[in-house]
Amino acid sequence: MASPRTFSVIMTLGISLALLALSVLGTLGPLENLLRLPLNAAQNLTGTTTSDVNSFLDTLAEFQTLRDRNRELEVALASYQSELAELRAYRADYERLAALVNYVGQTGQEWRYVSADVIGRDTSGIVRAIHINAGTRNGVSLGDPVVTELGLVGRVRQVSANGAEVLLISDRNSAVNARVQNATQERGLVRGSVSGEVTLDFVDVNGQLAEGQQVFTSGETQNFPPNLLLGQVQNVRLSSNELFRQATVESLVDFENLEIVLVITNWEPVNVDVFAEPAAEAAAP
Amino acid sequence: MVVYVVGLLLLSVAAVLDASVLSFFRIANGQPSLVLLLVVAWGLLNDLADGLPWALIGGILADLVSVTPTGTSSLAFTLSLALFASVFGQVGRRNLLIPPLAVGIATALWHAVILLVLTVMGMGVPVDQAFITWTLPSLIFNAVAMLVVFRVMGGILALLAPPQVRL
Repeated sequence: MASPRTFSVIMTLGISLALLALSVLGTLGPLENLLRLPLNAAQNLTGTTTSDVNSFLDTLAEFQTLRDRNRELEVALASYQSELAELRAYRADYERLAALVNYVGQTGQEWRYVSADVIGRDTSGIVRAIHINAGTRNGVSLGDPVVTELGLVGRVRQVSANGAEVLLISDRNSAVNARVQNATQERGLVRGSVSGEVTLDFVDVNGQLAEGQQVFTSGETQNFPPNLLLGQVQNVRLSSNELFRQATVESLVDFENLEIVLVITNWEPVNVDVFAEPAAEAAAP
Repeated sequence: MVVYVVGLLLLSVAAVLDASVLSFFRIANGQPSLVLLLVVAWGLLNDLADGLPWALIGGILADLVSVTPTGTSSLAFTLSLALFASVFGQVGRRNLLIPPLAVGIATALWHAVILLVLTVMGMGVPVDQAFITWTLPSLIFNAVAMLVVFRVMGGILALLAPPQVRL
């Protein structure tokens, strides 16, 4: 006969295991969303304040660095302005030629954005995710891409009525099909890591991958829309098996100090799964 | 009853602060977890039966502000308190050695359970990398923070449930 103490422990363990099983199966989803409502509301209040304080402290600490950086950016802006004028001319040419051949491309799509404040981060620490104060009430749904003006941030992993959790591209379990902006347009896979470093992997060893080139989403596999900026190539190297090249991707997004993000709410991936089914059925005995 | 209401309030505030305040001030990828600190402190200061509801509620709240499925942290917290009850028993509020040691063990156990659940969910992380970049810094933070939290919780316990004296 178990003592009352042992019985209490077994009972609590049993409840925990039952909750765990139901949560993994998704049965607890509606209840979890309901319980998250007050927590999200409280997080919204404290998270915004913390973010402001954090931002102010950072500004104070980096005042001199920011002044230097500002000078550098002014110089860079001047050179980019002339480049922009040139690119606008190219775009006008592109649009004219595309109209001539009725080309339906992936560029120029009108994204619908929902802006949201970052109100918290995943408390486990091992998963790189943020909490935002926009949910299904604002049109956010599962799998929506999340960006800032500086590039891709991640995608919505969990969503409740007034909040959502976004898995960052710097998380180890994130994988984004990518395209390098160079003459050969190499493809690769951008992955996160435990330390938060973002790596471009599986790039053709004979390609022209070089430091400073920009990396964008390729849109392949339809996990993310194409042409979203991922970052800049740094530290190009051979993979450990020497079959591919890999590089560190320096994102312009500061994942540690995100304050406001934009959720793309009208992106609908093309369902490519249906194309695989006939082949699979044909292969079946 | 008052103890449970205060506990629920404290744990809710701790969960919100963990997600929205402490997570913004991480050093070396580590941060203290107020929920874990409160649960372990309460478990050490009280009898196991009084600590278990805190482990269950604290665990649920910790999971609601995290990627981990509900029940993961409750499981780890319950195992921790059961272990401490059999090894340390009830601990006096002036003890400086056992609380940091206990919270260190609880941190490691908690992270082990999270890693296991994440692996089952297909989001696994190599254990060696996880230990260096996540568990070790969090363990140190929690052990240091426990010195303060344990004293504060001791004070709260003395207010809520003063020791009974037989006349």
